Amino acid sequence: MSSPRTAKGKKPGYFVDPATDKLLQMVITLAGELSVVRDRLDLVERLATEAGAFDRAMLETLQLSDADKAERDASRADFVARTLRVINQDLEEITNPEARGFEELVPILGKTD
Amino acid sequence: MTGQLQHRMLPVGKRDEVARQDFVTALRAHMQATLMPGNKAVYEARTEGVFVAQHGRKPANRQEVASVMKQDPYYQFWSALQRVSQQAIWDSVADTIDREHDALKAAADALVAKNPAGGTLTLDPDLPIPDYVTAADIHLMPGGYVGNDASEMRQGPLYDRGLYLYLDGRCGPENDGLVHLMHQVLQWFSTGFNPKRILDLGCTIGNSTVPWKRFFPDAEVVGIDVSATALRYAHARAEALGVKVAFVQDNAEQTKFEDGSFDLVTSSLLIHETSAKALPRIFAECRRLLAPGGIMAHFDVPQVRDLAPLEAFLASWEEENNNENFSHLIRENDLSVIAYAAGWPAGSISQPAVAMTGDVYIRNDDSPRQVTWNVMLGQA
Repeated sequence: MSSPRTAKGKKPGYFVDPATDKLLQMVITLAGELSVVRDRLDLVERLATEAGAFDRAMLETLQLSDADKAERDASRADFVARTLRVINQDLEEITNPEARGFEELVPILGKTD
Repeated sequence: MTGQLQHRMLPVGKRDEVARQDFVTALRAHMQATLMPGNKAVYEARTEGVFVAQHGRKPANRQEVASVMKQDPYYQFWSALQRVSQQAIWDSVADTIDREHDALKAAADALVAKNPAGGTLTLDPDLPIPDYVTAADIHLMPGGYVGNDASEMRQGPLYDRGLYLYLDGRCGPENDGLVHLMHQVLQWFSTGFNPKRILDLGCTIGNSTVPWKRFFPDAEVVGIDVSATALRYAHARAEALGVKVAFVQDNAEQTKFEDGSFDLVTSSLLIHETSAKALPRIFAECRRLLAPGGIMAHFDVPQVRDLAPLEAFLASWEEENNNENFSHLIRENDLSVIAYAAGWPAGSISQPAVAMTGDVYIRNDDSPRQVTWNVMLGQA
């Protein structure tokens, strides 16, 4: 047996599109999980400091090499691009013909018959 | 805030579970302090104007405010977030309970067997559960007060921990702050009042029952509720706290106790979760149960009928969005009128204004609502 997770009763919607209600729930759940990870990372840093692995202050003072920086910059740029992909998609369809939307491709494919 | 008292029956969360609870607390604190006041700013800056443009006058009541506020994107987001955060409270506790369930049950069995405080538990498996308790899960707590299986130890600990998170500790380490406030009100109402037998109606987990025994150690304190699983937890919790209480499964509308058998009959946040049919019966039952000179004391959610339209609209959010399905009954009606109609003698009811900020346990609240607790006292 496990505890029920859904409350019996009215299920009010708040936005014009019900999908927005679900998306908000997902965003808050993700924010919660991120907060959990941040707490855990904080704990790991404290434990590492206590164990003498490194001093927490080094997180602020450590100088990265140029190669290290380049690696992190690329990783961060990729993260931003993936996160904002939903917004970039419209633009991509215009600027990158390879990524044209299905609706646009249907007539083109049709001509190949 | 020192945190919730870690008594033997309160489930102990693992680190990530506690981190989720901390996140929900931070989210709700931000919403209360920052986003909630934004509703008033938005209303004054644009939403009221929308209504004026449509009708040539300002909104006159909460329903008219609702007609424009529910269309406003700021309110929509605030309201949706409020709902999501309420669900997240229970979800953040349920993981712990699923993991700890068997251990909690064993701890309860051990406490009941040892019976250190000498309290009792009397269940009535044949007691009908009122529809207003089971129609919807009040406050969105999955499973409600009654749960799926009375022998399980889920709804009690879920409510104990979830209530603390909901209140953000505003009612103290034992979720008992309302009774501390009510005790002050009672002393104001009847100086030196010293009841020998006390009945707490709709006591759920006994968080508002235990403090009565602490305030009046010589009194016999009885707590009743319709939920067997809540009472099982209440009994184990009270034993863990070392406080003697007799818990009985019974319905406040019509109890098994004799006429005139109590000096104080009380409830904390019960009546807004009952119904229009039940409430007059509860008031009449209180009168039947009280000995001459005995006192009825109910402490409940704020009324909206004296508030400005916007404040009344915001205070009514819980009714529509948090499964307080019948709370309009007590938010919008004068309870003394209902009590008099239920047989209380004219002039016997008192309704003092008790500010939500009036006690050490009731933290100063930055929200725009200027509201008072709904307190009703009657002397038999």
